[in-house]
Amino acid sequence: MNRVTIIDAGIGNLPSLVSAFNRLDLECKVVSKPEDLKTTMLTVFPGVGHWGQATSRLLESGWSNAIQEYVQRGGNLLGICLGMQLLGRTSEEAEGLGLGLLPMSTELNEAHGTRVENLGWNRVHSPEWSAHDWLGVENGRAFYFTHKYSVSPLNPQQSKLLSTDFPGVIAAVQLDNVIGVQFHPERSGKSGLDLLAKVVEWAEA
Amino acid sequence: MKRLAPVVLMKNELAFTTRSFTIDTYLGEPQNLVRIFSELDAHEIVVINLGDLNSEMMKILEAMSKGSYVPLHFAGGINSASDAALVVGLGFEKIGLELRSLDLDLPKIQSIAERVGSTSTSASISVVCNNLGDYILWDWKSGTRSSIGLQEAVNALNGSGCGELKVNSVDRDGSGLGPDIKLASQVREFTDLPLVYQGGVKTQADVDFLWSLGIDCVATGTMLSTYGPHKAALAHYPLSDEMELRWR
Repeated sequence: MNRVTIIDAGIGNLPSLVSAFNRLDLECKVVSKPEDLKTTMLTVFPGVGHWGQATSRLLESGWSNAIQEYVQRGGNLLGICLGMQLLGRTSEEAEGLGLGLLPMSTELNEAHGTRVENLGWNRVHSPEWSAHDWLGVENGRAFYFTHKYSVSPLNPQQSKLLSTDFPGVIAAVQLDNVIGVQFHPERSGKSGLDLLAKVVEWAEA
Repeated sequence: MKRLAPVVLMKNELAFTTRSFTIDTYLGEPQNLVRIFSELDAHEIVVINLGDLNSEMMKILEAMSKGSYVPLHFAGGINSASDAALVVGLGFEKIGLELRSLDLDLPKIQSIAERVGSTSTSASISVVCNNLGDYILWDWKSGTRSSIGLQEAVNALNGSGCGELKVNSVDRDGSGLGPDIKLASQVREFTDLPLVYQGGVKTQADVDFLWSLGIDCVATGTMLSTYGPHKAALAHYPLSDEMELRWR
């Protein structure tokens, strides 16, 4: 069994992600057909681009159903950037339904009282009510973000999550076997590689 | 959080630094430099191509993308939204687009921002100071001054859909004379976009000062790619602990 599967739904940057897992000495398989998404230790769902185009593509290609069924079977999923936002149901960016795997919606950053683009490095923090660091991520660790929209969990205290020093932006969210990160771990230097290794450990446990 | 970005300037598979936009020091293979800066945990790497965006160049960009674990910014030779999408598809986070003509370049910037997203679209301007002390754009391709003023250019870019603005001081390029503080301050006043400054930066104190002015990212080739008075080719970057202290 491949330890890590990366979804190529035509909406993500794959080379850098594959390279990051290779750097961690992890076997990694890219799947470009929904029917090829089988049981695996961890599936990564990267995304960049526009919500409307992405949701149409996922629906038409059959990826929506395949990913939903994979999670229902208990598969571990990591969504990255737009891939995280698509784990929710709706977005202010455009019409179209996301996967509905996490109770959250996506809003323009400006709606959170900050300037629209968040380009660069932000520190991440565990919320006050959380007793433990999320996946061992130290408070104050910096990751690389590039996004205009960000998720807003409907019931934040029911999910494990990380906030950032960019006001209103949720850096990471986890509910059971589904994790989403707004930042790009594959482009966050040592912080990102450490996090990917932790996600793999979590998936293996 | 503020950023310090090494610039990898390249043409015909060779990297180099420039002074006043002419070649100063050769630095070897550009993909090797990118890999080294990635290992050094640079905040971001700016790759500027002065040649064509041909198939050989795309192979180099692919190698760079695979060899980097930090964000990559690519500028040079992007003529269409399709070109931009190809480079983003290789894993580059940002596409840099130079504004030299309001009529020709603004529509291109807009269409690329629509195709790859504003956060992946970084507009840049190269600026010189004229005899009257006013800042105007410089066209590095033709080596001539433009009639476009600084504020006119920045105002145009504010509504162009780009998600970042990069300003290059031609007068300070590779000089090590320190940044053009007046230029950086003026551009900061003219825009709320995330702002990158390049030109003349020599020391970490220069970087700290630019950050204190509200510059989001300081980009530099010479300071991080060469060492000593004779500018020996040597890629280096502040240690992450040192950078962490500066961020606090």
